[in-house]
Amino acid sequence: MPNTIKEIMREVQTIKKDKTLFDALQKMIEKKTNSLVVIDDDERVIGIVNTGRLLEEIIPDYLEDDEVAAHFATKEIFEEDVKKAKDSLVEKFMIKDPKIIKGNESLMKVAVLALSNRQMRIPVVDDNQKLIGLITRTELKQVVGEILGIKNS
Amino acid sequence: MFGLDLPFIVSAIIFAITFILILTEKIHRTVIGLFGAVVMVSAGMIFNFYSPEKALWAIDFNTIGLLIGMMIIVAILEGTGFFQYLAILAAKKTKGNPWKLVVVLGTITTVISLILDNVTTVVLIAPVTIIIARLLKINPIPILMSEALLSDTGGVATLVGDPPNIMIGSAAHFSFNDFLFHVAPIVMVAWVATLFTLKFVFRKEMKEKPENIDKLLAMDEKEAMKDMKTLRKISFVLGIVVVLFFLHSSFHMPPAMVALIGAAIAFLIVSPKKDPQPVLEKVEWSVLIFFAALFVIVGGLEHGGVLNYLASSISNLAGGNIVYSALAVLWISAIMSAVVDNIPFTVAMIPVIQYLETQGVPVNLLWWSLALGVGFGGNGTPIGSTANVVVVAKSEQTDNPITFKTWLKSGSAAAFVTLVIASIVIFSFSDFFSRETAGQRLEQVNSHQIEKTLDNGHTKSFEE
Repeated sequence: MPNTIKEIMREVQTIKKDKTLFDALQKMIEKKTNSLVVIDDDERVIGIVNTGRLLEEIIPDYLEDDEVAAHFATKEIFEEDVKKAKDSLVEKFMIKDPKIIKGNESLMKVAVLALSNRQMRIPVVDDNQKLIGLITRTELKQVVGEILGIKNS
Repeated sequence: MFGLDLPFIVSAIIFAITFILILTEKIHRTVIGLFGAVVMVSAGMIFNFYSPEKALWAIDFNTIGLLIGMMIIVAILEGTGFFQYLAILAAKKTKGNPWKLVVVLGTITTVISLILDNVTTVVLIAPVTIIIARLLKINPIPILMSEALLSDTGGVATLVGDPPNIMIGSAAHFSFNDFLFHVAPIVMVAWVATLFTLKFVFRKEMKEKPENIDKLLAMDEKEAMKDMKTLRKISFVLGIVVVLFFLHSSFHMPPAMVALIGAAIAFLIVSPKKDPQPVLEKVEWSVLIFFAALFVIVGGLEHGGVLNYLASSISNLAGGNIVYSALAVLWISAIMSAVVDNIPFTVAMIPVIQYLETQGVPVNLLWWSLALGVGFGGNGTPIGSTANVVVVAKSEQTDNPITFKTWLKSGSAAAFVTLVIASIVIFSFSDFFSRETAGQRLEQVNSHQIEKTLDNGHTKSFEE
């Protein structure tokens, strides 16, 4: 039975803040993941990039709360906006200063954190604030399953 | 006769600090407004010039009630997709011609803004406009400018078109029809002048050849309509409201009553069993509290004796020529409205003009000048009205953002032209605009009746 976060966390995919939306997307597709943790040169966490943020960067502000106008935007307009956002820097659209958790903290704490900020993706750091892993919905689901004795086939 | 006593100094200082903080926008206007209001009332209690009761009477509940009622109706209407439906329907009729789009979409905005809130109108129309322009591969700026400028212009034409008019109408006892007879003709001329100013300024853009006209024509405006059932009901309510606005002064019914009747019927027929909380959350309580706070602050200034002092110096300065004073009011309020929030200025001007009235000045000309000045002046800069700010913000992520320079050469030019028109009309027809209005005559009959029935009751003790 796992006791700490360190035991259940998964390997984490990272990106630097000066990379582009294109780079981030390429890595997310290649590594089959929906999020990347943004780190600085000292491997400290400075942000998170996820699919939602990519879409937000692509969709122009004037359409964000307007389903009706968006309904009339053609495929060409969508393609144009996607290409326009290609070179946006990660720094611009990442979630800044996300909640992080230390590897030796309790499972309950990470569960509470995951729920409280609806981020459901918590970077795990060591005592020197260096990134060492990631907790996602999957890990939380598995640890709950393990406690209830559900077999992972 | 106006000694610089303590109430005078204290109320003036509180007013000055609050208004400077509001106008510099360092602190949110509602936050500092509410704070200034409670400080003013507290100081009034300490120095014995103002009280919570007097503050309550300083708030113009006709303005607040009218806004609440109209905001509720708009909140229900905006979800139906009706504005976008109209915009697409009209755009298709233009076959993509840029000048016709400027005229047609601008005019729809004007007409909606006559009765409904300018900001809601542009919030809903601007995005679909940008999409249409992108589809046609033409520059959206002229159309967006037309919408921004004409939403403000349309708002000037009626009693309920924008908040300054509501406040002025309430204070001067102008009826809905008074506004229609006095201001709407000027607005018609201003509307045409604004369109042709845009046509001249954007003559290059007007020559753009639209592409993909077939795609514009293929847009099905009915797809914009999200809630036909609600739309039918709320249109019925709006119809009642408009009819009641035409009749309100004959019934001695304040405009707030009309709007609240509309809101009450709207809730009853649209969603009788639902808690109206989600609709009420769309009512701009922050704006309403800000307005109420301003009334309280300016009320303190009045009770501190500052406004009387100001008004008497203004009437001395004007040297008795009411037409020149009116032109001064028009242009000063226009400049103020272009540079800073026009509401605090209007709220502060109202008691000044009311005081002048007690001195026997025929103030109606000043009221109309104030309404025209703050209304048209708001188009002078991109920050002159909330509708302007919204349109500029919406344009930011397009390929053609509206810059300060774009605004100067188009919006400011249009504002100047409309103000010149207003000046000429005020100057040439000063007698007409000085006359007592039909609404005011009805109001007097009404107040005499009330006085009779109340004999020496409540009303007197609040007059003092």
